[in-house]
Amino acid sequence: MGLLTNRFQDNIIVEKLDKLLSWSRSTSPWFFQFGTACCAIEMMAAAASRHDMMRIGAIPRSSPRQADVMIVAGTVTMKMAIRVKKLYEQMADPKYVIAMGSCATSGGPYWQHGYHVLKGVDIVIPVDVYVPGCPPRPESLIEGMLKLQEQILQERPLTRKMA
Amino acid sequence: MGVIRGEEMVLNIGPQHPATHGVLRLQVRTDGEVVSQITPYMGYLHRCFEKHCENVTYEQVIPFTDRCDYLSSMSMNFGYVVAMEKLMNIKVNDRVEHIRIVMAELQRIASHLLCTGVFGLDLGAFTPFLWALRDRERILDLFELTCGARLLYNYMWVGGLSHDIPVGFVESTFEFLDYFEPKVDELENILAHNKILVERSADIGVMPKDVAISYGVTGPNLRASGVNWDLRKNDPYSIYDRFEFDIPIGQGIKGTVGDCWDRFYVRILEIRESVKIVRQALASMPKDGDVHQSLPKKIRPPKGAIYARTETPRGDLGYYIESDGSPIPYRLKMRSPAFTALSVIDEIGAGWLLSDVLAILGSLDIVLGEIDR
Amino acid sequence: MTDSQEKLIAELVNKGLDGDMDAVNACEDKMTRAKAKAMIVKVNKGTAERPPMPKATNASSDGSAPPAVVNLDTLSKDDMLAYLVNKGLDGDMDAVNACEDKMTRAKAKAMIVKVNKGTAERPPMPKAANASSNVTDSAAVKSTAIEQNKDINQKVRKMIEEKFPGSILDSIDSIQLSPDKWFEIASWLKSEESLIFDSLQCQMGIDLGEDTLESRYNLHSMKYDHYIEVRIAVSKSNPKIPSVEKIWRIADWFERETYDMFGIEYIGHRDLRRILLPDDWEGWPLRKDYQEQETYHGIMVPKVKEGWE
Repeated sequence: MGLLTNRFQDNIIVEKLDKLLSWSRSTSPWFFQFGTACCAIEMMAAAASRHDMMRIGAIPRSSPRQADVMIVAGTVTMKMAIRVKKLYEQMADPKYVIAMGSCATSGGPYWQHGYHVLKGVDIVIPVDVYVPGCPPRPESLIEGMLKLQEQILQERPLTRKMA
Repeated sequence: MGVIRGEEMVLNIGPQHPATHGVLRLQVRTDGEVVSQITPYMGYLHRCFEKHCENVTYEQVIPFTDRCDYLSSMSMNFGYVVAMEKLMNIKVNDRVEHIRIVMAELQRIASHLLCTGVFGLDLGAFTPFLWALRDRERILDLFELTCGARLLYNYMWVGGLSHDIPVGFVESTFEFLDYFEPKVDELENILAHNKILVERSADIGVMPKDVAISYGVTGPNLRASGVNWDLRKNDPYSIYDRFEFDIPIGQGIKGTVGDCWDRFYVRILEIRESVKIVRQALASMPKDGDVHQSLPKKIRPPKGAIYARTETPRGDLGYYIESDGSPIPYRLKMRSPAFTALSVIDEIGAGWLLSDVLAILGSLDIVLGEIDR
Repeated sequence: MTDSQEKLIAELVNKGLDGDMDAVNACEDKMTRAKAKAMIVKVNKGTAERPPMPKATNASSDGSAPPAVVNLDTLSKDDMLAYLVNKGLDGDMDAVNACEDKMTRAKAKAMIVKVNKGTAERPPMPKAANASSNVTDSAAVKSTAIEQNKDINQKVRKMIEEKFPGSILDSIDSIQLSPDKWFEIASWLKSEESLIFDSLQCQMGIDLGEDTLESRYNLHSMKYDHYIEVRIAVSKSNPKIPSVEKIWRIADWFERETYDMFGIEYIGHRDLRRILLPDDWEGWPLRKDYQEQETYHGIMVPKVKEGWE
């Protein structure tokens, strides 16, 4: 898709194709379960039987190469920050990141005296949706995923951007 | 014809891996498929818990203890509160003790359910994982009814509890227990006696008694190796000595004593014992009593140090608290059971195939939040 | 303060110190309750002395003379000694003289003299077997467990003095050793027949300020179910202690963690390196004078507050 992105002038075919592409991307956000700490358990619970996240199209994948969305669930430490960056770079475009929990958003309860805690994962990778909570309920995570879907739906991958 | 020797291969399992229970890196040296050495690397979740404890007050430490072992927060709180009450010589009333036991045992059931489900998941069985999580959700509903949180409760305070149990809790719990007991049998049938699981875990990763004691392994891992040691019976704290329950010990039914299957099966038997304890505790709970009765106005323990242990679903949790008379702890050390359980992996894991290493790791039931603190 | 009020406060203080806070809280009069609680706090802190239990009021399990005769049979020798000493200190020498065993009588009288002089502590009153609910029973059991613990501390300290003279440095609740012969003492602690400390429960470091670091070991015996605490102090400029990881295998990781957090070096450890922090981290975090480093691989370590925070 890299050669075709933002390449074409706006006309009826391009617009319809755009809509098809962004609709198909938004309704199947396969997520890369990058769970580090307590939020990982709520992520697992969100994918389990009661709050079924698969019904909105989000299937858990274990490898970054097969995933669209990376859910960073849990505290990221300095030792882990380098690896997070590597994993983000291994994902294929287009990729999105959801920062789940207050530790991934801004350091969480460990912000004050935690010398080894990364104060928010947006220091190393760009984040699209922040889901607050400690830990956020599975319903919150599903709402975050739905907001991400709305965001993806508004993209126009093929249309040439106005200068 | 001689033996074909290849070169040793160094392989990294983790830090991000679906089957390591958190962020753990295992560096394995393999000769083909056979593993010759396992070196665990930790610290990917080191959140400076002990440094925080030296800078916040005694009451504020409790939410931090929740987050260490996030699968059994009630037990973490319980251990801290038992240590502090010993240090400050506070006695709580009977109602508080009964509620604490009920919560701790329900938490034990929830934690063992998750561990059992995830063990099956590691070996490829997805359905029992969903069954286990479905039943665990009902326990989390009960906790949410009481204190409003699903996972990290901040429930047990020094000298009492944060909330009393609401109207309808006792009936809901009895209802849950009646629904749940046949489900344990279902889980055992589908998983424990399943031929594939037995082949993949019996006789694998045998941990002899002396190795277990020397490496400081405690809890179900130690009991599976045949040692009859449970802090609730041998060194009772709170009111555990009033209840009747058995201690399941590994007997090597499907293989040798102390193999992965034993460690897994002991947890299923413990779920049943916990159900018994909850029933007895609910039946004998006193109807009146204020849970905030013995809460101290300001926590200023006397100068001194104390080391107190309690039994969590993973083993012996120890808190060493040194106080200098001020409202802020001077030093607080948490001796976590999963730390010692992980240390034994090189001893019992070397010599097996690569896929057996994951079975051994799953049977040890580690939680990285507790190991790295 | 009237005489009876004083007696009531003394009784409540004694009950509270023995673990029965319910009795203190049950008192109706707010002033008495408050004074009793304040006294309990002071006695625990050590700034005031425990008042003697008043004779007349006896709602507790000790009982007056006739039931005491029945109870005496159920008490063990140590409990009997404690009971007689308490009776004697309260003024009732008849009870002491009524004891038939000459040895116990003599020991009780000697103990009373020592307590009056101040060279020994008054032992707590043992609870009789047919007392109140389970609650006070378990409190009594626990207090004897703590007594047993103190006994085992004394016993081990004596044995170490005999076998390795000059190692014990201080006599407090735990055993303070110097780092020189720690490895030999540790292997002896594990192998000695009457002790068998085969499990190292917890090993930690602590920064006591004033250039002292301490390494503390909590040892436990699975066979006899007794435990002791050993402390070894070193200075910050030369923090070297012999490693005991060959004796208790878990000491391997515990010592690595103490090294990681405090910088105490363990001589003889097979692989002493950081375990929780990355290998290129600077500083020993849990020391009291630790300063966070500014950046780690280009990432700011302390929190940088944004404009909106």
